[in-house]
Amino acid sequence: MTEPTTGRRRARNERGPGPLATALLAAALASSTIACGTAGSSAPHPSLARGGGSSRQGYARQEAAGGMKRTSVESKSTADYDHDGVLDADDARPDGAAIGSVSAKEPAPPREPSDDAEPQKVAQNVPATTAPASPAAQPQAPPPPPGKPAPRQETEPAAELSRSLIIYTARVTLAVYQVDTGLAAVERIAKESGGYLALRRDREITIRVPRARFEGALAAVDKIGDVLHRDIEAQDVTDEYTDLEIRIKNARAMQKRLQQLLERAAVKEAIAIERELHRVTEELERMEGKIKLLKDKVAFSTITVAFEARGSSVAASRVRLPFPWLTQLGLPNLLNLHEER
Amino acid sequence: MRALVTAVLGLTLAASSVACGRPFDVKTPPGFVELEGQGDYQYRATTPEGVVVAVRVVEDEKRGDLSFWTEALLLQLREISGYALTSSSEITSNDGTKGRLLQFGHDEDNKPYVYWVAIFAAQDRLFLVETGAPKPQFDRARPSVEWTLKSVRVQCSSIVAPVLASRTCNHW
Repeated sequence: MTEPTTGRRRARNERGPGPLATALLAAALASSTIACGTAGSSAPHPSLARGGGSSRQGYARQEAAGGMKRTSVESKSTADYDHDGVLDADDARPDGAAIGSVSAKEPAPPREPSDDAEPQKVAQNVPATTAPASPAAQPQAPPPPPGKPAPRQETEPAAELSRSLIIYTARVTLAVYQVDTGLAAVERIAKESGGYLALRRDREITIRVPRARFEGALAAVDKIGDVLHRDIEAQDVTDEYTDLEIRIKNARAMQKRLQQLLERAAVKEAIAIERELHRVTEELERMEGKIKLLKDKVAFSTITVAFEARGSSVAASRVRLPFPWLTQLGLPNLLNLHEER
Repeated sequence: MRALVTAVLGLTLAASSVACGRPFDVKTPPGFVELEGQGDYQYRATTPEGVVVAVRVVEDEKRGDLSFWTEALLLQLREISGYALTSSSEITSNDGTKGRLLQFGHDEDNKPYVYWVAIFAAQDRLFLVETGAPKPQFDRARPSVEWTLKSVRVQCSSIVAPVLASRTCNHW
C-alpha cells in the first residue's frame, strides 16, 4: 500500500521543486505581508488552487497548532498584564478564570484554523450587545462618553459601534487617611459593579469594572475620601483593532494554504513548509492574544486608586510657598513633645 | 506732676513686662497638662494618652488675609503632605475674631490620626492652634479640645492701652 505513495513522492522529487517550490516561495512572500497588516486580498495563489483533500499528517499538525495556540494565548495574555503592571498572574476573576486569558479549567476544543468565521465572530462580539458571555470573552456594550446618556444599541450602525472601541483608564489620588478602610471600599465597589480586583498594594489598588459601570464606579470612588487628583484617559483603539483583525484573517488564510501545501510536499520540502507554518502560526497566536487583550481592555475599564501625597512630584516643585513655618505644620512636629527645660 | 510721671513710667514698665508673655490667651482643659519650653510652640499641652493642643505664633505677618493663609495651609497639608481634609469651617475665637478651622485625617504607621489646625489673623500676627492624636484617643478627648479652641483669645480687650495692644496685652 505504501509503495505507490513512495513512488509518487519520489517521482515528484525527481521532477524537482518546480511548482511546489514556487508556491512555497509565493507563500513565504505572502506571509511577509501579514506582518505589515495590509488589507490585501487573501485569494489563494493559482498554484495552490490545485491542492485538495486532507492527509492525516496535515490534520495532526492542525490539532497541534490549535493546542499550542491556546496555551500560547494564555501565557501571552498573562504576560502582557504583568508587563503593563495592571494585573498579576495569580490574580483571578471571581469565577476563577485567569484574567484576560482563556480559562485554564475549560480548555477550548481545537479550532479549525480556516474560514473567516472567527474574525466575523470576533467583530460581532466586540459590541457584545446580545449574547451574555464571560467578561473576558465578550466585551460589554460600549458606554457613552462621560457625562452623556447611553445611546441605544439597536439603532446604531455597525460603523458607529466600531468607532467606539475606547479603553477608559482612570487614576484617582486620595489623601492618605484610613487607607485600609479605603482600599476595602474600593474593592467593594469593584464587586458591586460586576468587576474585579486587579491589583492591591499597601497604598494602591487597581480594579476593573465593566465599561458601562465606569462612571458610576468612579463617582463611588470619589466619595471614599479626599480626592487630591483625578486623571481620566480615553484611548481609541479602533484602528489598532481593525488592523489586527485584517492581519489575523490574512494569517489564517496563509496558514491554510501552507497546510494544503504540506499535504502534497515531499520530505525535503515539508521541512521548509513546516518551518514557515510554524512561523505563521506563532504570528497568528501573537496577534490573537493581542486582540483578546484589546477586547478585554475595551470591555473592562481600569480604575487605579492611590493614597498618596502629590508633593514629591507636582505640587512641591511648582508651588512651594516661601514660608518655612508652613513646613513645620503637621502631626510629626506636634506630637514630638520636648523635654521641659 | 511727679505722680503723673511715675504713673506713666509704671504703666510703660508694666506693658513691657507683659510684652515678654504670650500675645494670646488659651485655657488648658481638665485632663491636660501645659508643658514648658516647647520650642517653636508658644503653648503646648498634652493628655497622658498623647492628645496634644498647641499654639504657634507667626510674628510680623501683615500680608495676606485669612483666605490666603487658608489656601496656603491646604496646599501644604493636602497636596504636599497628603493629609485628607475632612472638614473646613469658620471658627470664632473667644474675643470674636473670625478664623478658619481645618480638620484633617492622616495615617501614620498605618494608623489613622486626626489633626486639626485653626488659623486666626490678628495683631499683624498669625495664630495657629494645632491639635492632634491617634483617632481613638482624639475622639475621646474631643470635647476638651473643642472647649480649648473656644477659649482662645487673640485680640486684646484692654481698655488701658489700646496702642500697646498691637504688641502685647495686659488684660485678657
